[in-house]
Amino acid sequence: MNKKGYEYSLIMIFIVIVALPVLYLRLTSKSAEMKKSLGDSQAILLNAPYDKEDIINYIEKSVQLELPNILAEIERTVPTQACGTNIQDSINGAFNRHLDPYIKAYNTRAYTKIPENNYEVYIEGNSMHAIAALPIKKGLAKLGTELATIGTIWFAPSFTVSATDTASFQRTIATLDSKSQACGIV
Amino acid sequence: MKLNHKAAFWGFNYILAVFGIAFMLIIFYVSVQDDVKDSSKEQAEKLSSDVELHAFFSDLIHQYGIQIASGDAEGIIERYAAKTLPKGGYDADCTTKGTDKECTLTITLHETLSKILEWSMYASPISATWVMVKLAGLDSLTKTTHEAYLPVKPGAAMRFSLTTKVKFA
Repeated sequence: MNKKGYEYSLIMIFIVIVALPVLYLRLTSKSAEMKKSLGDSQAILLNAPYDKEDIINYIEKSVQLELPNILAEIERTVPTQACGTNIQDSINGAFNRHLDPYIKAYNTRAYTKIPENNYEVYIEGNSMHAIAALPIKKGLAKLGTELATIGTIWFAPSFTVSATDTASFQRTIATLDSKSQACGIV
Repeated sequence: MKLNHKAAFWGFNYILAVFGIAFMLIIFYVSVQDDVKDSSKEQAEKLSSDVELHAFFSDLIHQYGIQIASGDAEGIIERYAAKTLPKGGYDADCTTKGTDKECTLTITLHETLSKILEWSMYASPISATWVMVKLAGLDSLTKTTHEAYLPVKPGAAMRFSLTTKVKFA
């Protein structure tokens, strides 16, 4: 091998011995800087519908706990109100008054905030449909790193609660019907 | 023609080195390709099982949220797991920290590791729990945690977390 060949070989050895470890160190230091691993963002996105359901579930369960009190307040207040007063406003008022303490408790603890005084309620058969006026804004993040969001979802936390105690439900509906008839509301 | 032995020797070495390097590069490429394929498959299965277990958790609190918040969470989780998940032993253990409840569901399986390694998420239909168990066998997923808030009474919310672990009988 001539002199030029030796020089060429030395350059190649230098490249292999020095450049490759440098490249390796650069890559490992870059990957150490990455806070998320492969698939984390996808996991957050795929879990988002269930996170949403868990929040709606909280509100729904709160209403289930308070339903006897909500129905009792409607039964108590609606018959005494003047005929010009909107019955629907009284129902919404009773519903939101009983639900808001639960929402406040949630908001003090969770990153996601649920709007208060947010529901319009429709009673149908043995079910109560709660329609949310304002949506919930939820940051998409991994559990434990809620401040490092990858995006935001907005959803309306509307739901339906069915009565287990159908007798009290029917009693409330009868109260509302008799009030409507007394005031001449069709 | 006179044969230059020295040139022939170095020429042979040169050709050997070139082929050696090419062979090593091919081995490296195949090995990296296999590693990438394996890790992406494992990652997909991990994602799939994490999401499915979140579905399990959401359904559990949807059906029994009030009872979990107010009563015997351990019994409820064990009965629900036995009803929903594959055959195995289920042991729930809950601790209360202030107003919060932290539960761990340990699934004990009677399948062998070799049997579990045969399972694939591409087999249809396959429950996510099987996939999770397979991953536990592969030591890539031993536990997963989900949490949500549950209402207790007006002005009180409870954080409920469920960690699912898998072990072999």
